[in-house]
Amino acid sequence: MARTWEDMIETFRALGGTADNIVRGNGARGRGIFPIDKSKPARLHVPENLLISDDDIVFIDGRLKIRSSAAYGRSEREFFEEYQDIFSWGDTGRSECSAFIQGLEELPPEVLSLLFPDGIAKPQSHDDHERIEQEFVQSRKLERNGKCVLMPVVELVNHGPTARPFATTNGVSIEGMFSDEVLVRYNAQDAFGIFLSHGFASPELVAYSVAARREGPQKLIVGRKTNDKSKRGSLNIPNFRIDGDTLEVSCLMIGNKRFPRLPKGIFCHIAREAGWTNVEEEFDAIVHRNRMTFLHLLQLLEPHEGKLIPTVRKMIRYQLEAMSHCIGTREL
Amino acid sequence: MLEADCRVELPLESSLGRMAWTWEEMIEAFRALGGTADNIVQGNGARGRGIFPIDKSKPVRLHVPENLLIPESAVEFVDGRLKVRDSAACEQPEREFFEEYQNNFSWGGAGRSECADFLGALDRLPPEILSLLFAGDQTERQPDRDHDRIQRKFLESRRIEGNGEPVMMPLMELVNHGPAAPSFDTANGVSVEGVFFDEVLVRYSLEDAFGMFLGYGFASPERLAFSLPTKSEASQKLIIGRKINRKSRRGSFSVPDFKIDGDTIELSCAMIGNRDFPQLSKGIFCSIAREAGRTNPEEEFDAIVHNNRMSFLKLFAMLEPHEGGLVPAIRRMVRYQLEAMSHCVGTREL
Repeated sequence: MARTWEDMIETFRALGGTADNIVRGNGARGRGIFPIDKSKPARLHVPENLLISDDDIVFIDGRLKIRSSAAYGRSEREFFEEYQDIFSWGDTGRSECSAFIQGLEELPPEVLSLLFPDGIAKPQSHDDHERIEQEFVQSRKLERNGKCVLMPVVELVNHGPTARPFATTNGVSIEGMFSDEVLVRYNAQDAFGIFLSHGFASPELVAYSVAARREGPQKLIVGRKTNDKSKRGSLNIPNFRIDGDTLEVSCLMIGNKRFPRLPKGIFCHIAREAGWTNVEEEFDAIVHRNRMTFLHLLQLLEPHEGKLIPTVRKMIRYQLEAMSHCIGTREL
Repeated sequence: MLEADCRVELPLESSLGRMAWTWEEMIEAFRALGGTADNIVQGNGARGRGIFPIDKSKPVRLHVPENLLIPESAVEFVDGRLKVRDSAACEQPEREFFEEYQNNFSWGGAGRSECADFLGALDRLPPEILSLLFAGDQTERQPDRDHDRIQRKFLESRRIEGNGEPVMMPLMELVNHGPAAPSFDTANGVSVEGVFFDEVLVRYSLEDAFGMFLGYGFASPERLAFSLPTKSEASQKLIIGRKINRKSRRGSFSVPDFKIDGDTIELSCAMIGNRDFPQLSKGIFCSIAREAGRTNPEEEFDAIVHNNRMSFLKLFAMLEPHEGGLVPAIRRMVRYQLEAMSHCVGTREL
């Protein structure tokens, strides 16, 4: 017999998990996790023994299982597989990913080329089943300590651009007061990145440049590896490298709803360090090219209709809105 | 000029009035009244009905003489027909030509139905979208009788400002708008001249995509973008209008009229994007703002452009649940406006 939510939570707790003051429900984002009592904190914690490496999973006869060779306890294995069958992959996980892949396939090739230049982040397999499985894993996994893991129960929590990120010390946790749905920020991405990795449009607070490479006297390479691993003054900024006349930035913030002076401030600081001239106009030109890329994408969508097109259109709007929040500049 | 006793030969009357004019008959009458229509024919193209060169390798010339430019104040609608007022100082041949032309090729052609369709489609838009579109202009939403609105829209979309007075320009008004085309030559009548590889086009007015949509009802990829009307009551006051002009000068540049009054800057309009000269928009604003003693004009300008972008993105968001009617055209207009606005890169000294 299919397990109930309560049965599953009981087993989850028995295996070391915490699920306090939460219940499954439906809200503005579809199915999600909600506090039972909104006046009390909600806490959800997946312990280390229930975090399953994406290297250790396999799809067999349409079911998501842990490889027999993988080193997990029998109870954890049984819980994970049953959880996947009833509440995740086997519930609506597969059909949601299938619909997304189908929606992508309906997009005109020129739109796909812009969304996935060089195939970045696009599921590579040409087999439908494999593509759907890849998409499912990609949209559910969390990178942690250099490894990607699947997180039962916590993965049911929806993304909120202003929510706190996962706490990843000693397992994976979400904790706090939630006046409505329990939300977590999946990762530090922009609307474009969230769409590519998770398949939905989200009004993110920050926008990053699309990957770019510019030759010329002041060479520039812009990546999309979002991070803030370097420091300038009191601010964390993305990793960057100056090599002769080449400036390589791992990612480049081009809009920030909370700190609209910061994107230009960071770029100008790094570019001046690289000895560049006219850095403010350089930055303006980067933002302009980004805007035009997304406006071109909108143009390409104009003659078409399809299930995914309203989502792509909304994603573009969110990206342009975040990008618009680039006003003035500041010293770091 | 036409001799005083020269009469234009018009077709015989039918039971409904005069018989329908052919294009050739109308052109013949137009020429007889002093107009020039060389190497042109009416046809259909990407923009719908328009004017095309007969021989694309040869120049086209279309000229409406002064005597055929009828002041807007001199026309009226009588029983659904556009006529020249009895009291208007207009010679009989010009009067007859204008009325017959309107009846066959303009208002009575597709002009009335096009305006009615546009206004009908506007009426079907959700109120919140109309509020954003017409935030600075309520004329489209006045509760006129339907036929009054249609007539007013027709006149507004066909007239040209000539010698300080709006005039109707028969034949010329059939030429479609192209954002990169030359503008009307208004010396001694109204003319369009040149070699056209495809459709004959003219730039109706110095407007942006938003202004073209409001004025003419279509989406056009204009070269420039201007700010929406703005009034900022902060310590450094700023008033921005939408009276697009280049009547003042800064250095070697024509810039819009502006007024500095204490801590207030009043701009008749503010350019916020220019596909041909992307440094110019910020350069003009900063030059004026510095003259007014502003301390951080670059950031002030960024904020103006940001507010404009967010207004159009809000409009775009409101369109999301809707399809059909005018929605695709508005969506395209918003894109064109954002594209032109995006062409604001760097700054320059004037």
